[in-house]
Amino acid sequence: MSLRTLLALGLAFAWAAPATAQQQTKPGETPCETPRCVEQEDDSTSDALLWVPRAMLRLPRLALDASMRLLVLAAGVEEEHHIAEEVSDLLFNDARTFGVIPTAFYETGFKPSVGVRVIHRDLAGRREGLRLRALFAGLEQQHYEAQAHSGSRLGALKLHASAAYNRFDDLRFYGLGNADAVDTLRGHPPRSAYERSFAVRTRYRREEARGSVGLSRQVTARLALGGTLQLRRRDLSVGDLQDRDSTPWADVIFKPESLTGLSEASTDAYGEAVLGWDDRRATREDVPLALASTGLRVALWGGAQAALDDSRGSFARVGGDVRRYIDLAQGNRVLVLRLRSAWAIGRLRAMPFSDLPSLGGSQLLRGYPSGRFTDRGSVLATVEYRYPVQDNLASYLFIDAGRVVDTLSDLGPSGLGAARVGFGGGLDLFSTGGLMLRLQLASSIDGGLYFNFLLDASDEYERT
Amino acid sequence: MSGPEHRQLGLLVACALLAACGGASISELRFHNRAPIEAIDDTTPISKPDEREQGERAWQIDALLHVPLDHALSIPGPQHARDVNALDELPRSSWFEPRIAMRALTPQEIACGPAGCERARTLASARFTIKSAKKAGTAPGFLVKCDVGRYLLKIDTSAPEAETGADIVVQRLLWAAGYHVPSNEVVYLARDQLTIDPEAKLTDADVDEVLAPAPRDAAGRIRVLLSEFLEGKPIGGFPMLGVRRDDPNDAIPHQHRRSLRGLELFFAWLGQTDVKEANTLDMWVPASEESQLGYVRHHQLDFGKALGTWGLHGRQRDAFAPHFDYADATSSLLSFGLSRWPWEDIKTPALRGVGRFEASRFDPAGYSPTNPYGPFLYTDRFDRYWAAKIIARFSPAQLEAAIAAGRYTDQAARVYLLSTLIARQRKAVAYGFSEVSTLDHFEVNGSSDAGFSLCARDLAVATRFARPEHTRYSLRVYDWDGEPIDAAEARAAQDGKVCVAGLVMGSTRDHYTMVAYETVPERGPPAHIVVHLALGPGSGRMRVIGIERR
Repeated sequence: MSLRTLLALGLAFAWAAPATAQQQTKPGETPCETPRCVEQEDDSTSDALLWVPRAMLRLPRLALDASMRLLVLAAGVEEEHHIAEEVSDLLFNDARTFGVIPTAFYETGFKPSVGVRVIHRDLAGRREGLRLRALFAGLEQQHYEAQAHSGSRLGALKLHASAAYNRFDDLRFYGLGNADAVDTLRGHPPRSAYERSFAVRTRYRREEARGSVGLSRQVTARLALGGTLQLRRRDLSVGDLQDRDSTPWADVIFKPESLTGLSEASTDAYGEAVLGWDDRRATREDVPLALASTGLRVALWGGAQAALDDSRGSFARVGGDVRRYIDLAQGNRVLVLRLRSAWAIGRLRAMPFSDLPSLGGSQLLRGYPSGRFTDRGSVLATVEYRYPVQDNLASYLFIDAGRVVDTLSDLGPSGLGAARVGFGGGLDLFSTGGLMLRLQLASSIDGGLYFNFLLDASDEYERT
Repeated sequence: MSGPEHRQLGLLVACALLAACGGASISELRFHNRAPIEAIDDTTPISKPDEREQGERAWQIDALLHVPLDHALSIPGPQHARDVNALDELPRSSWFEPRIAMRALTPQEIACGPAGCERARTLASARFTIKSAKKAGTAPGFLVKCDVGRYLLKIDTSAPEAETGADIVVQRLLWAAGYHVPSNEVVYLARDQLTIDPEAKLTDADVDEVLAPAPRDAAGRIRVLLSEFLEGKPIGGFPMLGVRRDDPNDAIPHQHRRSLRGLELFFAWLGQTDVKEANTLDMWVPASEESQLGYVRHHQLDFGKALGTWGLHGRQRDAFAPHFDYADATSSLLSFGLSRWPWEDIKTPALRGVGRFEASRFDPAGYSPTNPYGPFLYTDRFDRYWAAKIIARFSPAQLEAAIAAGRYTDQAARVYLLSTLIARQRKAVAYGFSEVSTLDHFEVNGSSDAGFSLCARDLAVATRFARPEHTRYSLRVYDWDGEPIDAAEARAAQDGKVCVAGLVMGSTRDHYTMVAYETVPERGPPAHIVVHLALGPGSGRMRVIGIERR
């Protein structure tokens, strides 16, 4: 449209303003010339009938007013003393490359943990990174981890190093296979964990310390290759029979000789190669990268574990995880299709049961308890739909289907038909770069309700 | 309460009952026989009130939680604006000074703004001393001084020309409408026009760092926004609800001020969403330089996020929804993303200086500031009609003048902004005109010894929102006691003028007469308005003493 055309439109709006006599109020008066000016509150019949609910709501209004005054007072104190600023200055540096972030985690079956994450994104000017993480829920549930990488100091090559210590006194083991869980076999003689015809919820302890070094190279913008060498000291154990917890220790239900690795402190080495492809992206500028709209993410891994002492524990692992993001609409209604499979290759009785692939928990086969299904191999398929609720608040609904298998032949139609299915949904609050808070609720065709709460900060919107 | 006041209240209740039964009947409302008030004297000298300061967080608690929740719990009924006169218009006051509604401002007046045309030329060649860094607000800048005054110097940070341009366009239009605003100019300054006061605790490097993101012209001059310090002494923003207790002139709760309630439609039109107490400013204006007495003038400030500029910061929902919308979040969660938000398909025009601003998805009824604003919770159809009348007064030439003041360098951007403002103007006006009778500008001719004629202008017809051949008007004439004494039918001329002659006037109380119009439009329900007339004392001529728009 030309400027001339636009200017021609103006003729419609021209009329003369009326000339009126000038009159002014007396000082302090309002221009109140009719009763409607004076009596504003109840100037309609319907209003007159509202006195009952208004009277009833008087008290809640007073309570609201009082609570808001308190809040405002607190906000005033905070602003006067710059408390948030002081805390922020304490937790982050000016360049925002260093930060200390509180974290919290809860998953049904575990104790609520609180902790802290320390992040440094530029240790020495070449985007060298350091991440420290601690989660604590008492001596019986603790996790500490330190990770560092070389950033761009070595060009396309990146050197990684990490160290971790964790202790969980209440991990679950149900035996191998996909059998329905029965309440307990207490009082019966222990049976082999390899039977696969039954499942009972038992528990065990794990304490481990590990350290690793690795190299990765970004071959192209989307393709990366990497390798890691890890050294681990691990102790799997059970408690005494006097424990009051109703969940029996694993060796009460399962024959100890079928629980490879139990009661044996062991040291092992693990080497792994990883190939990754990631072309996820947001299709719209105003959709945060935290909500990938489209693309493919693939991770393939293979590695070998060798026991360094007399204990059993030498075997190989392979696996793959493929996630396809499909932009259904607007770049923020996204369908995520996922297929994940992990395998342990070797003599089953030589593999520590806690190292075997498993399903269940808040990430893999949601809707089942953590460690619910364990075997030589696992297969998981996920359909997840993500949609926006508000800016930086998204929801998701998912269906997970999966099962564990002993051999590849178990993956036939009948085997897959017997897959366990979990479903649920959640809410994610995120910043432009990463997840900040997650609430997730899940169930399954076998019942039960599983809740997951996560408060954390990650560089990338990521789920294992 | 005196006897007549009792009676008035009784009449009011009767009026409400009648109104509830149907719009066509005459109410018991009567006006004083006097000329409508054109100015409110709210400048009674007072000593300087304390500076009012509300923290950002306290404001957010108020805006996001307290005010909307309390408003909902109070189950408010209709509450007509209280700062209006008998014609339901806004008199001149320390809050509002009708400008374009009173006379047709020339495009040049709008282009030059409140400070006049010479000011921009003076500023372009002035030498400025930087007194300090700007402290308030998020945008970087400086407090500067030159021969003609003290200014706040701001620059574009989100996109070249966007914030500075939007600030000027909206400032010019709100000023023309009648709001008190600071005198702002976009100026291109050479770096050597800026020197640093030795006491400013700033270095050249500091200044260069702040100015680095600012766009420059071909000669390397820096584009800045200069906002002149307002006259008087600042005493903080005005509260969105209630009154300033330390200002006796501030007699009407702010949520009952049409000047603030009506702003909602102006802001919807202009995409101004950064609405908060910190973007208002009360200035105590002393009677003279040395005087200890003065009055408080109320200003609107800071329009840099208008015209979709905030949308450039990633706020997709700018002007459509607040930061967090409880109802929308719930419905979005439960509708699983199947419903589409109106702002989702909006594309930001690839034009220099233009924000996420467009007309096709603009719905004035769906406008939302970034945070709930108290007076907007009380905005009614009468406030919107008042605002729509003023908005409709802006001609494209005047809008073009305001855009020219923004000094956008891209001609395509100027054309786009003009066409978008016009299209949004039509939508805003259509919305404001859709809820009440649009008969206005009543003129009566008649004396006590004969009948009288009454003319009005149907603004919906005058602005081509309604077709005269499809709009009918039924008139019923009543005397003081509400007894019917005459009736007539009428049609509008092409220019919206509706005239009826030979009407019978009332015989008592200065020939008090009420003419009730029923407008039957082409579409939609009939609209009603009652015009109150009486014989002017001494003149022997009938005059309009009140309007009762229903």
